[in-house]
Amino acid sequence: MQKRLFSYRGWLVGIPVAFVALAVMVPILYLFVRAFDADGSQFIELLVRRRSVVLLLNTVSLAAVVLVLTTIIGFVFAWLAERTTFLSPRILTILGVLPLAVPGYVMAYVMLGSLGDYGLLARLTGIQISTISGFGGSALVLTLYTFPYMFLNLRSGLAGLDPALEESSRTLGYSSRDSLRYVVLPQLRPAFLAGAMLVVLHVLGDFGVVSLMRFETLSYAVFLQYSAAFDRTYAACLALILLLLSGLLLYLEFRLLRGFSATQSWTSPRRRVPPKPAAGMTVLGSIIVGAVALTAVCLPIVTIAYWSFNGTLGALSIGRAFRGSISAALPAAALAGFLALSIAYVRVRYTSRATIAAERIAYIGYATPALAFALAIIFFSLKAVPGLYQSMTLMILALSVHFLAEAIGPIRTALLKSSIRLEEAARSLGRSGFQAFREVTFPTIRSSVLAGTVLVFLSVMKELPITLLLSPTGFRSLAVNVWMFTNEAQFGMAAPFALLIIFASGCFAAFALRHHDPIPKSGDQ
Amino acid sequence: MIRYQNREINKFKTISALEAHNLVKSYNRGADRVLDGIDIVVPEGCLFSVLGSSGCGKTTLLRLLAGLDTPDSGTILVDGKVVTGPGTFVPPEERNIGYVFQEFALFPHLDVRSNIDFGLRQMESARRADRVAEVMDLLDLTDLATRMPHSLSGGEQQRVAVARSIAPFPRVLLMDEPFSSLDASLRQETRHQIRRVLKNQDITTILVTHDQEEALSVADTIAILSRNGIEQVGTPESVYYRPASEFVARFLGRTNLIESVSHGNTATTKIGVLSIDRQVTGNVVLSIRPEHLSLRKPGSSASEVVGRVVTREFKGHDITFEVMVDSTPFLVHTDNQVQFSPGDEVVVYAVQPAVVLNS
Repeated sequence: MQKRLFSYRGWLVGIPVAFVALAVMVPILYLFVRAFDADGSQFIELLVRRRSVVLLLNTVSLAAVVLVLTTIIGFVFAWLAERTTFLSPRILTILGVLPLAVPGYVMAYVMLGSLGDYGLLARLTGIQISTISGFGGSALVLTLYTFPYMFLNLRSGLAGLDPALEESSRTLGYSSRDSLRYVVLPQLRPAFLAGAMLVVLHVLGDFGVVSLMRFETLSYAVFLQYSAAFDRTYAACLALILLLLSGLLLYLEFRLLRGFSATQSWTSPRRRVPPKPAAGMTVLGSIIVGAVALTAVCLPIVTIAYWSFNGTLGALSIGRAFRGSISAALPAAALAGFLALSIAYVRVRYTSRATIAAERIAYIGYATPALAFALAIIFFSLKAVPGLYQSMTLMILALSVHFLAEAIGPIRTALLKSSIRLEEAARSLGRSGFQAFREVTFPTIRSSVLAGTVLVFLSVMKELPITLLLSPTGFRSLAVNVWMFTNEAQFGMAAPFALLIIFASGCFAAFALRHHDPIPKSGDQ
Repeated sequence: MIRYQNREINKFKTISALEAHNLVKSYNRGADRVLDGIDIVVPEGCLFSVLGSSGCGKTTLLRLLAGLDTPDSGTILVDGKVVTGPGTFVPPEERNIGYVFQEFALFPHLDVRSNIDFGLRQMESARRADRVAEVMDLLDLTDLATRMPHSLSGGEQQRVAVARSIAPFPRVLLMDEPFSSLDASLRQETRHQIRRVLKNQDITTILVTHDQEEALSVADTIAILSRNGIEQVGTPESVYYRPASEFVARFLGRTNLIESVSHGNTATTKIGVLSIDRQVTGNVVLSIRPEHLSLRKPGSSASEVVGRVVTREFKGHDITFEVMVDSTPFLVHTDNQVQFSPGDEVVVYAVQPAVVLNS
């Protein structure tokens, strides 16, 4: 098994794995170097500064509240879509995924532009709801924007459950409610942890929402420290705290998932639990689905429409920003898809300390707050390859490595389902290792590779902090424009860019849905 | 081979543990009718096997009995009380009917002990631990108590699944192809162990299978299910030796189906005049098992019908001959003392009466 890693196929996956490991680890090591630039005692003093503690508490409490809210919303959506006749699964899925097309800072723009101090409501009626910013506003927007990750994970977890488990529990005297509690929920643990991981990582790394909402978390403070105060050592120190927090999270997930047999929980069942009326879930479901539809769909439409007709738009700058976004997102997504496939493949097929570490590193790259990641890359490139500084190449590399983990998830899941026996059967029928992969394994996981790549594309289209810091001079993306104009409360100027981001991401979300529908077809006996 | 003593059907009490009447179930809004008016009556303590080929609705039947699905129409009674019927539906958790799934469906997050304990939460804790220990002992699972399901072999998983189902003293136990995922050598052994446990615990059981040997060797009573419904119900011996229909005759092992003209207690066939199992007159189809035929050398009698041995298959304890009589093939099963070779001229004769099939 081990030997095959070093065949030529081994190099095909070995090089990308090594590349990712280096691209992630170097900037992170750099953070340590920067943080310890100050002498030791000063570092400790910076670390325990009152402000650091406040920032840490802000960040953790925001993450906790968002996690609770996304779990409730995500579970209700998943349950309604998978198990009930409440609404068509298709409508629920679209509603549950649509918010992915509305990036956090656009959602923040919508909230501020509609209910904020200078928003639509204030302008038309004079009513000001100032609580829409700060902690509450941040939690609300981050929940709306991250619950789809929880929803998608929990739904595929539910769809992957063998109905016979619940039926066994029923015949052993458990009501459907008790079966949910004692059989279904424990089985959903890996799906929940995967979703929770994504949600919390988004909150920790978020810059756009908290900066527009003016709520100081660690990420936002890193940016302020760097751009406004130019205290790079304290910026590095704060980023390090954030990094340790993310590290703790990865470790926790690892500990919690240990001992859970992946092979048992991911085998795809032949049957599906037949959907029933929502019953006890009807009221809660109606409230949650209604609220999500209202805030994540109706509110953006109304707000952006209003501001589009009340702003001054320059067609030229729109075209330029659109081209800018696409020129970063396409190559970054393609590269990330390839890297993710390599890493997921060695992780699943050649599980060892080294391959687990490779995957962990990709997750670390994702968990590293985007701002800190971008900062470190700037300093490293200035020192090592000055020619790459402020180039498209560097920005694209940074973006694809940063978002890699989003593509690994679905690909790894698909690879776990695709039995190695298939590949071995192909080998026995005269295919080389690479041919077997290409002709047998790849076709079975193709839709997942595509889904992973599309996820990265979406993320890059929406990405703000890395683009903000790494883009070449004169480069404009839709995201940067939305953020800059919103930051100055120029909602009219921001509107067309926000609209374009939603449109582009929306198209790709729909595409992703059509080509990656994990709902098994019914027609069982 | 297991020899069957005449199992005392009479020992079963007259009340039935489970009954189903006129069950109808279809899928796709009535387009695919899977069960079309099924009736079964399962006596107390009986090991009742439903035997049928795949796709005849065996699993559907079990799911209806367990309350995991609802029939289009029909009634199900447990201990004479309606659990499914017009306007009545008792949910599965209140039926006290155990179910062993084909793929066992062990809870992957619980160890063997907790899986078995799962259904006992109504029991007081002292008794509960005793019961778990007792059931684990019955099925040789004591050493596996703390193992997780994914680390068990197929046979072990199967025993855990049975243990889990019988632990709460189910009124009736349903088993869906319980042995089909085990390999052949393990299957026979597990089968006997589980039969012993079920009898020891006096559990009324319905077992569905497509494996006729399994049904014959395990069951007290067999119901043969075809797409048209229940074809025949009886002891293994009676359905094997006295099949009611051509379907049953063919389904349970090899048989010779013979066109004949009967007149009272005998019928005229290609191999001569045979005695038959009941009084009937006219054209009928007879079934006669290969082991109820034998061979001898042709004598001088002119009325004898002479056939020719086509193949001879030596199987150790017995021999199967294929004999062509007037261009009709007959299978003959003899002991290994009968010495004929392909090409030999022989006379086929019956050692038991032939069975008249319902037309």
